[in-house]
Amino acid sequence: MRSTYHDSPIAPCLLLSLGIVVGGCLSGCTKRDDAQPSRRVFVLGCDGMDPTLVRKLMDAGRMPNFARLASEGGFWPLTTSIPPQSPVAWSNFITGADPGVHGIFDFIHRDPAHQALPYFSTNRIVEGEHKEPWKIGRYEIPAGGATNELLRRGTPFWNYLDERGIPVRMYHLPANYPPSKSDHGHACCLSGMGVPDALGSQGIYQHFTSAPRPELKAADGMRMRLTRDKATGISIARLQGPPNEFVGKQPPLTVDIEVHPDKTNNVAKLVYVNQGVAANETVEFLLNAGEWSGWHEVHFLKTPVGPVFRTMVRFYLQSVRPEIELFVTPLNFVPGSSDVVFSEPPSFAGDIAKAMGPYYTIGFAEQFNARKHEILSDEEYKTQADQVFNDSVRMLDHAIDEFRGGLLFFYFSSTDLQSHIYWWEGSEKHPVRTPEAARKYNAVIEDLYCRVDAVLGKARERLGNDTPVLVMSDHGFANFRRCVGLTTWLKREGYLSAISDVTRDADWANTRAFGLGLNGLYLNLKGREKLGIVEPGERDVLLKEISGKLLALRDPQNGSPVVRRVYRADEVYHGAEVKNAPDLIVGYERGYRASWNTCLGQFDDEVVIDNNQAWSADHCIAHDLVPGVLLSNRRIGTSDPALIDIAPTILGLFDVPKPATMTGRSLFDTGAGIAAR
Amino acid sequence: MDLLIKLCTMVGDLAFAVLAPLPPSVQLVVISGVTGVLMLLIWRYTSNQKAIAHVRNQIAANLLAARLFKDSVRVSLRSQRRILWQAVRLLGLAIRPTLIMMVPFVLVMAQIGLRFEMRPAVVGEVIRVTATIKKGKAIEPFGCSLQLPEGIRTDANDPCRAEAIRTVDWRLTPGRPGEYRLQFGSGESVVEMPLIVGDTMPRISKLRGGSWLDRLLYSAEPSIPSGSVFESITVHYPARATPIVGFDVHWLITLFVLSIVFALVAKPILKVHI
Repeated sequence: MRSTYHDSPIAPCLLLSLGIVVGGCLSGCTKRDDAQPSRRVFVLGCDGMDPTLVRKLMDAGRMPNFARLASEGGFWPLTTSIPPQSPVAWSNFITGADPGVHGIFDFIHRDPAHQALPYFSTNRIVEGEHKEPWKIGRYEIPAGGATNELLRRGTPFWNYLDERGIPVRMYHLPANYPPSKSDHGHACCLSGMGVPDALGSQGIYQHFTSAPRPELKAADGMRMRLTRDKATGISIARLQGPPNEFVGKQPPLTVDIEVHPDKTNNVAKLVYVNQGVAANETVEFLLNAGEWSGWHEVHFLKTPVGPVFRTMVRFYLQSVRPEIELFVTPLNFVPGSSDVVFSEPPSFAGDIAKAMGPYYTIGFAEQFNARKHEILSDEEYKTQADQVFNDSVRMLDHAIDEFRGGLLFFYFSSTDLQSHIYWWEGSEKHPVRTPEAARKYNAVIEDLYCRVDAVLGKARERLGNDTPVLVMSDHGFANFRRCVGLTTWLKREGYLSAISDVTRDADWANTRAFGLGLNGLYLNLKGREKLGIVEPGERDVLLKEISGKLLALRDPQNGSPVVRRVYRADEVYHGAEVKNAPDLIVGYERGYRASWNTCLGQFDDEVVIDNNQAWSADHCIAHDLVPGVLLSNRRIGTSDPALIDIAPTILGLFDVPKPATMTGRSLFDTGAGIAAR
Repeated sequence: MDLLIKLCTMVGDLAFAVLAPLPPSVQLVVISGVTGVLMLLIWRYTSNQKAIAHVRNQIAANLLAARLFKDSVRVSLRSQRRILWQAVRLLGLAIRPTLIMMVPFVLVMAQIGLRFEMRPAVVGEVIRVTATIKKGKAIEPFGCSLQLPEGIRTDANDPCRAEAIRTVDWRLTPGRPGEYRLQFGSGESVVEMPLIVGDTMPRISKLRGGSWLDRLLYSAEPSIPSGSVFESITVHYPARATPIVGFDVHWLITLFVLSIVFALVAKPILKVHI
């Protein structure tokens, strides 16, 4: 059969080629549609920004852009959540309601059906129906699936904008992982706090050393030895990846990083192989001692025919001699390539990376655990935390580039996660620093606030001064000098019987109350907890008794009260989720916080002990001690704004009425407003 | 090998000199078009066109038979068996022209790669260079000797000598645009390697020395003298992006797809059976 001109592919091919030629000539010359929808609102969320410090810096003339915003509209302390923990507070912000509606009461919750089994409060992996895997040699193809469930309840405020076709763009939004779906396709969200690393944790760094030191593999960081290849003498850092679900006992996937230090110069060459199905890729680069690398992808090949799990890390060569010390950040996901969805729509994360390059995808990007464990020094932590801040600044630039109208929300974590390490007010003795060092590093926070001020100034310049702006934080900050062992106190008072760990060896038949999380205290209530013994009729008396004793608790060091407030969940929360709340929420005094052991249900030597960690400031105390900030260029008609008011306020700016699901109120309702404080 | 590389480079330089006024993406389209037509012509003159035409007619006839006699299982099965056999024959007839075609295609690909795979360094950008030392040769003193031209500086901690893998690395930062000659080693055994800095689209060799295939694909430089301590010198230039209609597609994919498209377009005009 002879092909005729008529049915040949000439016409479409010519058209295609013509298109490519014309497109090639025009590429780079295309213009974006710069049409601006009439209404734009910008919300800048600064986690942990403290009103007292903001006021001090504004008065000193060091935050001119904040001061200008305050003069245009106002500046108020913002009543925070009970307890003032970030997941709780940001859920208040998201839903415009208290934890009784959204069901997030603490970082850590307990499962009453499994008697005090702790779990991360904001999301959980739900295993699908168990099915036998298909076996091929040593490999197993998993047959069942698992889903990642967002545990926050209530309706996020942007749903009401989404259904009206108002575009919403949110970057690094906390307490929204996995991201909730946009039913109408107008809401884009990059999840922030809550996004895990590729090991499924909230951030496991890996540190390798050639020094003789015991190895430790914990949930917040791994400290390992560099091994030495006997044949070649090459030092090898075995980077731990996620478990390989394609092999029987799911051993961790690993990638060997060769470290080749120069024999005299303070530099080393790092070499590793990213295995692929079709071909391997060798990655090699040089690092000076004390230098951070850029982002490098690390690939884990699960079987010889795939799949490949792509992650990315930054390396920090701490020293070359006398010992090699190599720090590796937690394994971040590669935006746009991962099966793990941390943006809505899923392509949003990849689009951002295409425009601005790779960025930290993990929720807790700052390596505070490494600082707590003294793997990183104060200066090293600052360098790393500043990388996170600079990433955010670049991302905000990109976000404003892309912002055409509707709502733009942008979140900075630095004001919280640098404050936890560097904040120190007053002349009290710092847990780990000399008074001079404490002052020096407190100034880091002041400088950081000033940098946020500059970011705000630049953003307003680009957005136009008429754009309504809200700058808000979820809570403030306070020194953390002394730890309160709540579980230890409960044990000593006879409410709790356990040997070393409430979650493992409690004698539930003799336990009436237990502590879990940073502020939660639960009764072992019959009919609610699996092994409950407290009769519902005894509940009120027991709660009153424990509250009274906690309020009377004194620090043996100086006789000061330790607990400022004890909140009853059924009094401060409203909504269907109250039934899952702790019975009491302990609001500590300034300078105190739950001990590290208490959070996990473990015991301390004494009830009140010194905090001896670099994590020297906190906010998980009585809520009235650590309000957040609210600044706006619109005048606000109330003197006591609260976090739960922000969502209805944003809706109000788009003329969307406050929905019945929200208990907060719109702050701009009353017109003229009051004078700023 | 040196002669072949030199010859190919000359042809490549000439071709790209003609295309130089065009934007890079258009250059790639034009080269793909020429490559597609060239490959089609090679196919025409190296394949048995008569046999291919015959086999394709057979396939068409059997397809027709299968359609006409679909009620007869016997005829239908026989037609399908014949189609399968003719397809195998067609594959057999394609082996010789494909193998012959591969040679010029690889050479063309290499020349395009020298222009589209990498971009020059830009001023202030850190570029790593690696000298690989021959097995049995000592790194010191010649292997870690690098004479820098004016305008290029190196990191204060360099070089990094990795004895176990016989490499020496430097990080270079160019201060101004230009084509520099880096001199590795010293005395009579100096090996030169160009470093190109700027925002133009020149021919870039990322490698000098190495295996014959690496040289063929990535280098326009002469071989390293046999007495040298160096096995190869590599300049780690950044990858070049050549977006096509706004899409960031690797040039190799563009070349493959467009050359096939152009070959299909030219097929009826040149009366080639494939």
